[in-house]
Amino acid sequence: MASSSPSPAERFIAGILPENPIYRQLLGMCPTLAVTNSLKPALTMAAATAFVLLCANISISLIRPLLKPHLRILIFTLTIATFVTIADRVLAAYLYEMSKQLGPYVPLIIVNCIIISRCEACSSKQPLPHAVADAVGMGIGFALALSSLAFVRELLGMGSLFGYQVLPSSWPNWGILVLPPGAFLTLGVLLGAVNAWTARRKARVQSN
Amino acid sequence: MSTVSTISEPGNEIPAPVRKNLLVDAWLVLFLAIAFGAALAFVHAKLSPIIQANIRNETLSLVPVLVGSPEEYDVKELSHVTPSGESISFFHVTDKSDKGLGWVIPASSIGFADRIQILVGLDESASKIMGIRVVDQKETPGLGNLISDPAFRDQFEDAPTSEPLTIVKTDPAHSHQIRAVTGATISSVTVANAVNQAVMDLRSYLAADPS
Repeated sequence: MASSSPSPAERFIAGILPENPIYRQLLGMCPTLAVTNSLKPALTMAAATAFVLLCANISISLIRPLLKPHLRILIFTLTIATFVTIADRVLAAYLYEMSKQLGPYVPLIIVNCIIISRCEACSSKQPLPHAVADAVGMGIGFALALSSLAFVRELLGMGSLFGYQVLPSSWPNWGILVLPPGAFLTLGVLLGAVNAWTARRKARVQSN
Repeated sequence: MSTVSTISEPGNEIPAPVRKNLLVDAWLVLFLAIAFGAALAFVHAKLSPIIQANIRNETLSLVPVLVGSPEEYDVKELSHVTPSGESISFFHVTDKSDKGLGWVIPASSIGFADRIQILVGLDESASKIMGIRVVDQKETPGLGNLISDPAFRDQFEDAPTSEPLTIVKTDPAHSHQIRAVTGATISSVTVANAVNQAVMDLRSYLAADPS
């Protein structure tokens, strides 16, 4: 993050926590809040988004010298829309039940700001290895954020993980966590926790 | 990198050579559009049969549920051309001794967001609805998509087919009135219209084929 042109390794590490798309950049909030009421749809959404991010970053990085400034957003959107459509069809063919559960949120990956912002910030300016590292790092960061959210919401809201009952039936399921207000509440609490942890780590590093 | 302003105002019209450049600039967009279009057509051709099979399996698994979940049954798929010229295919469920148990008719109608596809289960004499299932919808989450919930669709169980079903926003007064999902009247009306269409389609088949 220090140099003006981060190396692939720096891009990769940055995507996981220092520039985590959810907890640090606060991008792509819509699917984050919508599909994290349990772990299985959350991870499927993360996988679909990571696939699109990787393919889009590779494509844009390869055609990088041909991009015109006044047409680049159009080309980003065209590329992203194509890969999202492919991901949506593959899900409908091979994971039909999950595709129905995710519903309109898979096509909505097209407008997920994470992907277009990585195209703009990284893959339209840096060669292939950087773009791939960036996509993989951001994909892992996104998956970690989604699964941390879904872990809390499913465990406390339904007493289960991945559909398997984990907590004893005496646990009063906190139903609100499974509903939209719970998404906002959980995200707020986890965001505050990540901020507190980052601030404490920075203070400790500075005092050393 | 072009530094010419592209905003067209009087006295600032784009000169002809630059206009041609803009079209040439867009060659990449056009090329990508064609290339991506071809890729999507290929993916669609490869995956469409699998997706159709998934939909069909889901339909077939719902057929016995919609006629009362009999223990042993046979399903016969039939097709029929309605008076309006539409070709429909539906299912007749019989028990092992060929006694009729009920009918399952697919129906669809354009809802609030996109087409809503449903399956309607009718009893053997087509005099009452045994239940419905919403198979595909893209209605608003939290509002229109509640038509898939038991709270709404259970109202269709045991509804009579003597009159078309109507949607009401207050408590139903007659057995052919269905209470709408709050805040999703259009989605609810679409489902009722599709159910009525399914009943009409079955009636036209039974009238043409008394056996």
